[in-house]
Amino acid sequence: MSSRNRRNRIVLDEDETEAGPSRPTRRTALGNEGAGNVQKRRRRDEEESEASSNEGSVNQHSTIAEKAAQKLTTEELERKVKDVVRLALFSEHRKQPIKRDDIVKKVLHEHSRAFQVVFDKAQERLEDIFGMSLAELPKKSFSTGGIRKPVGNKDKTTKSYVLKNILPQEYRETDIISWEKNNEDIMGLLTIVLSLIHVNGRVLSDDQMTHYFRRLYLVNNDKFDLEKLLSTFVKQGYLDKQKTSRTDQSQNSEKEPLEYRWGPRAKIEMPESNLIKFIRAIFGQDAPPDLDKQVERSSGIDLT
Amino acid sequence: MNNEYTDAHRLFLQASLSERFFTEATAIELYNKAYEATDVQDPEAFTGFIATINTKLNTIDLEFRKSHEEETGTAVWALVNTNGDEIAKLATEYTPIEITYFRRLIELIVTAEDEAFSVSSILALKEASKLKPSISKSNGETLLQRFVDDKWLNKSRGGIYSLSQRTILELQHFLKEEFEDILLECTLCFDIVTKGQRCKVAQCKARFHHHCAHRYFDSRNDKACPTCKIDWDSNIIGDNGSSGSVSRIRKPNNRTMTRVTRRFQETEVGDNDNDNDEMNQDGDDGDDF
Ligand SMILES: [Zn+2]
Ligand SMILES: [Zn+2]
Repeated sequence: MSSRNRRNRIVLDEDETEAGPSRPTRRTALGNEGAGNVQKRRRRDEEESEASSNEGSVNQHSTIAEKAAQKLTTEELERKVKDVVRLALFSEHRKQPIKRDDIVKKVLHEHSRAFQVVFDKAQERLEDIFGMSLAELPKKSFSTGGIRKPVGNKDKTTKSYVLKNILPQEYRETDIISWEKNNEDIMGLLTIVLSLIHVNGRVLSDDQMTHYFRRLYLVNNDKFDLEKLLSTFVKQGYLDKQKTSRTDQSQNSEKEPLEYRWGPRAKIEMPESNLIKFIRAIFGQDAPPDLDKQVERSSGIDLT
Repeated sequence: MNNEYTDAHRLFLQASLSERFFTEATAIELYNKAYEATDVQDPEAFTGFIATINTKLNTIDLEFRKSHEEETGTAVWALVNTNGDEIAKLATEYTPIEITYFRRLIELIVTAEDEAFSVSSILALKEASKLKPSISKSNGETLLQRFVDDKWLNKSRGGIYSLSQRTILELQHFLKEEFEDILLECTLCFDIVTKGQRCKVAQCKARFHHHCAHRYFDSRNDKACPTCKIDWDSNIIGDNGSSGSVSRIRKPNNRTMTRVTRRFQETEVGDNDNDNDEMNQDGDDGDDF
């Protein structure tokens, strides 16, 4: 603790003697040119050694990408890698997944075949700088009833990505990333919603959701507009909302019955261990003994 | 000095990504927490820590920049783009018409008469109605509030809008390019000044931030203007009660406007040759006084 304080004080002292606001910036801007070159050179070396060590296992797909990438100059390739990283960051800021199509349209243009090379390098950069990586969103999951027809394409992948924190789990449990009370509350609510969906058999109807929230005194609360919040969670990919296929919902016939499930982003981003802790805290003795397994099953995440 | 890039740096960056603009006190708190959480040995001092992060960020045209809140002098940091490309525009949470409106507001503010650097709500809303498609009064009010909430504009108690420190920092490149003959630089710190003091002598070019003026004059006995050497007496720059209403004569010339408009319409992401200009500008920002 005392060393921490000392560090703080050193920082402030340094700052006092600083002549003006733009100095640290300028220093790094100047210093950067050299560092950037070094890095570029290092990266090229890595590339070469990688290429030679992987030679045996290179599949056809990556060969095509490598050939396409060779048509780009080093500067062009660097620019595209940079743009993919930036696109990923800005999409994340808006809580929107980044689509493969976006990368092609906005960054690669006629070099779409170089996708894999550019994408892999962008991944490396994201991991190195931010400790994050692009994770592909899982496909929508459906209840096993078989009533609902599977939606959409037959591809095995969604080709949509979100940024995932890959720093060790224990760092994430510190409160460093929570900024303001408000945001914390909203993430807390999201945890509640996801937990409710989970313990309810992985699906929750609109009415049930409202019912639970009324019990938690969160309906008609000044602070939250439940409807709006749920639609935000849907938009951000934390929740999936679908029309209910069951026909036995005679009451409430005016309103289209809806149901909620975990969205793709929740499966990737939700700190699973927190969720289990949270459910345990709420249900106490009543918590299902195989909670971990259940969460694992419902979220599709391997917890072990 | 050790400048190894560690998980503490990464954690700090992750934490700042959601906010992108904060006081130095918050930044230092985050910095302490980042080291506490990761238990990295031999931590860097704060200034070096940020410099190490910037070296990494510069490879993707981002940077942490420090500035001071014009009204209070509070040190603030922002994560800024160092190029004004198409992808950067995605970061804004606004529709194209909303962005157009914001740009018009900036123009009104910067070109306000008598270095007022502000615009009244009445004028701001009038501008909204002139847009095509026009923005209604109530939508305009909501949007203005969003600009304030998102820290792009400041609103005074009297309902006068001015540039926020976030805008000055993050849109520095754009501002300097579009309004290079109009924007004022602080004589002492060389940052853009839109709220502060100017020398009473009409021909004198001395302009100070309030906090820079205090720092300068508190440390000496003579109260002479550092530029014209005449006894210091000041006028106010910025919203001084009489909100800037009429645009000044020194409007951006056509050449500048066309260039800026063209830049905004560009759809090519890769095509950006402004980086070097930005570098040079940074290099010119002297800070010794
Ligand atoms: Zn100043
Ligand atoms: Zn003077």
